[in-house]
Amino acid sequence: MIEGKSAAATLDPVLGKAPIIDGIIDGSIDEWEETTPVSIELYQNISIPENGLPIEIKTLQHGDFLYIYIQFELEPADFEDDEFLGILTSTSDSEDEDDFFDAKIVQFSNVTTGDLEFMDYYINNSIFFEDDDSIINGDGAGNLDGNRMTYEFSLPVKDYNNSIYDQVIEAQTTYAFKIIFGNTPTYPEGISHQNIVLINIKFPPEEDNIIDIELIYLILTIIIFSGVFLIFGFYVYRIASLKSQMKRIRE
Amino acid sequence: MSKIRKNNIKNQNLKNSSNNDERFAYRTVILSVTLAGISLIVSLFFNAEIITIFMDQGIFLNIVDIAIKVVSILLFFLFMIVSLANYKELKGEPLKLGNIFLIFIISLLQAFRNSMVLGFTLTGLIFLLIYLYFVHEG
Repeated sequence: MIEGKSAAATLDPVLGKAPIIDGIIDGSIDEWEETTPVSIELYQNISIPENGLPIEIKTLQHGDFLYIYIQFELEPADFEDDEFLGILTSTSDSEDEDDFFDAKIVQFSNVTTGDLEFMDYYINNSIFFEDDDSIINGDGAGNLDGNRMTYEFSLPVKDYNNSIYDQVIEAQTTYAFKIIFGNTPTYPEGISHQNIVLINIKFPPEEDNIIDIELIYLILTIIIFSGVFLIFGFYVYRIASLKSQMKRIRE
Repeated sequence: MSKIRKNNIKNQNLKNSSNNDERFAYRTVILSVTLAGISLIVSLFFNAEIITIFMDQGIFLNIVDIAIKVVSILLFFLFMIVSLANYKELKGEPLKLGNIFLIFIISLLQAFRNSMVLGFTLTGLIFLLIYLYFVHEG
């Protein structure tokens, strides 16, 4: 296992627009546009960093969620149907194996057709136990586009359900996250590549206090253009009534 | 007898000429208001950002987007002024400063979403007002 290995990167999430967790990066709505990717590698053995799988990672916070984006490229033949990618959350910034308590995994059953399942586990003595289905916190998805695989995750920065199975991520705290990758749907045996990053969780702004500028713009647009069209319509009506006035005068 | 007939014909000609002028002015009002309406619809689509195909698609398409937005508002203003001036003439009233100010404001308001469009529109409207003032004075 991993001993005495320092994190590959320390990431500061951008406070931005929430992406849709579907594994698809929609440029038309500027998904993940505010973020800058950080390149790291996943290794078979973190203590021996060689033959790494290069990945790009982005982090973003919106409201009460931390969003993580991971993208990498492989030769099409190297994608296995049972591929998975997971995010393991430590109880703190500790990178000790035993401190990784929570696991969110996107498990494909068929990479080509995009069949997948988002799975929520807790870890006890390196054994993965599936959470109670009714209290799944967060979301995850993946999508293969050509030779590029994209995974997206959302993790709550608050504990909504007081789940004993989930690691509560507190704001203004640094946590260690382990990224795991593999091609066999057994955990932890199926993990082939992994690495650790530290993420400085920011203080999420209170949703209730956020004035949604876009909403204000939309309301103002509706008011202004309705007003303009009303004035214009009234003027057209006056022109129409002028015609009948002119007819009466002529007669 | 012939003098009365001549006067009648003259009056009839004057009446016909006046009617023709009125019809022409009314047609101008209708044509101008139609063109103003088309400009307003174009402005609604682009300035209310219902159509955003040119937005954030590179500098060239951004310029096209801004140009469409500004030109549609300026054309709306121009055709509305022409239409209203003819309408007022038909009614025998002068075009008041308040009317021009109202059209100026409702034109400018359409550009509120984009500061660059607002700036160019304001400049364009001021130029149009100066132009119309000098044409009128001339």
